[in-house]
Amino acid sequence: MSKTALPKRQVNNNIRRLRFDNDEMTQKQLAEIVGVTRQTIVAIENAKYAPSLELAFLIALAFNTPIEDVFSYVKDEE
Amino acid sequence: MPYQEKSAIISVFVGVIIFALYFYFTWQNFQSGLFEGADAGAQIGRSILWLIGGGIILNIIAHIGFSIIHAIVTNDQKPSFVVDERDKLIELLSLRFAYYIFGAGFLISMIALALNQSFFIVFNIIIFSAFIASLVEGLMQIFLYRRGF
Repeated sequence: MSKTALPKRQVNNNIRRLRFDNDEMTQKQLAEIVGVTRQTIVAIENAKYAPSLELAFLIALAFNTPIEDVFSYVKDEE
Repeated sequence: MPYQEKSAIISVFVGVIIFALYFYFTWQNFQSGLFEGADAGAQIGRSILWLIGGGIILNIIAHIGFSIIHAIVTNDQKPSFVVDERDKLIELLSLRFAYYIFGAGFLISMIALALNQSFFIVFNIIIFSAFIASLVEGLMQIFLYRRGF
């Protein structure tokens, strides 16, 4: 049986820009809206943590925008 | 620094104190010959019960004290005790490592038992592996919070 290595993937986001566009919403404000800690928002913004689908939808709802405007899926071709 | 990371630092600190006290008193009792003879099993049991009871009480006191000091220092009337999905993942990952270490320690203790080592040695290998496991769990949490996860 042959094993195929999973390609490296990364979930990118536009949260920083969306916060700026939404009256310069702070990370703390966004964290309170979606019910997580500010550190989790920081980790998501810096692409160090890929949120669950539920949290991703909550963030999109907080900005009143479709989820694909917040998150994008990048497949690393390496 | 998130509240959970500070809490993990407190847990590591308290864990080191508790186990240092346990091993210090156990070593003293061992040298005085308390763990030899017919009463050895009961003495080991009492030591471990003191460790568990004392550990729980010290941890509760440390965390209550920390919560009060944290609220005063940060001047936060409503501190954020939110435990979100990332906190839970970090906790689970750290706990998994702790289980591996404790499992390995338990295996070593069984090998010691099979090699006719005394109950004192066997139980203290288990206690020591529990100490290392709790230490790794806390340090792993701190590492994951710092590195990002």
